[in-house]
Amino acid sequence: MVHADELSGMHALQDLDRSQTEKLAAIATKAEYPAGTVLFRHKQKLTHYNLLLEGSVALTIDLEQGDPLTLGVVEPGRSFGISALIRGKRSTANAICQKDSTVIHLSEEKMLELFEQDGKLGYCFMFRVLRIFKSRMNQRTRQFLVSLEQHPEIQPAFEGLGHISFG
Amino acid sequence: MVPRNDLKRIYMLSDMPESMLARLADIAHLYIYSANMSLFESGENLKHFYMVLTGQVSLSIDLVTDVSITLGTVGQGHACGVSAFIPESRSSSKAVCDEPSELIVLSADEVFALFEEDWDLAYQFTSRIVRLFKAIMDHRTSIFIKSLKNNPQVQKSLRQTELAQII
Repeated sequence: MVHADELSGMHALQDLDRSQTEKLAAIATKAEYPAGTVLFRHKQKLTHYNLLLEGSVALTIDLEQGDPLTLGVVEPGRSFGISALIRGKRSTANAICQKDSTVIHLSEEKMLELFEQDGKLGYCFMFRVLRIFKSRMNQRTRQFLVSLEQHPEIQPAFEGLGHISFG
Repeated sequence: MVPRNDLKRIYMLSDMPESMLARLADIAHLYIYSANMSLFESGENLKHFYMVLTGQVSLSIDLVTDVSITLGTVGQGHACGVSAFIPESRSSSKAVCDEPSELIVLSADEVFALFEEDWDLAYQFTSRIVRLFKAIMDHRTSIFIKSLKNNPQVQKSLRQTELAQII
């Protein structure tokens, strides 16, 4: 059991009121992991949505050559594993504890059941996720464009894929 | 108003409960667009969401003068203009019809008004928008990763910055 106060500071739950946060707290569990623990792997079917209370978690993907690429580092107050709540989706990265970490887990099955019973809670949560996704996608697109500007040598690769056109 | 069966041809709505589809069908409009017709520009505050019944729409972004990148194409059964459901956000790309296209159009304001009346509909619809947004984001990440495969220099510079903002 997790106390609602532990959830109230979570970025992804900022739009929820106290009673909604308490409903999520009632289905949450908490666990501690040592640095180096692999919480899940890329393309894994996820059973839990996760909120980081303490520590840090790296999200990485394996490239064909060289070390894995770090897509981002999850800091306390942030969440990861949203694919658990999206039908048919699998994780898009590996999640590995960079430090000793405390993670709050919310079961995908229980969360979706709760959202089916309480549409307003489901909507408030999903609406927040949507806004966070938007900001994340803008950042990812910007990063992509900066890379293309700084490394014009990769543009021809996109011509071949039909992803770039010259006006 | 559009027939409910036309809405069912849109993937994200194909599994919506019938009663909710009926409410969405009441506020949806079917429009025919010519080839090369613009739906929206990059950076525009969107008022409408577009679902492709027939035809195809390209999403692109200008890199520099005379060079644009196609971020993806939206084919039959798919949708674009998700930013319309995120107040105060702006589109991350421009959208142009590649060919004559029949599009089902929803006004975001009218959808939000429906949400106020029916939170279950709000949850069901928004969770599908989140699913769509995640697919778009994953697609953008995948074309980015493809571009890195044979470019160790780009990989190296990326390792020094965070690619994604984590929720």
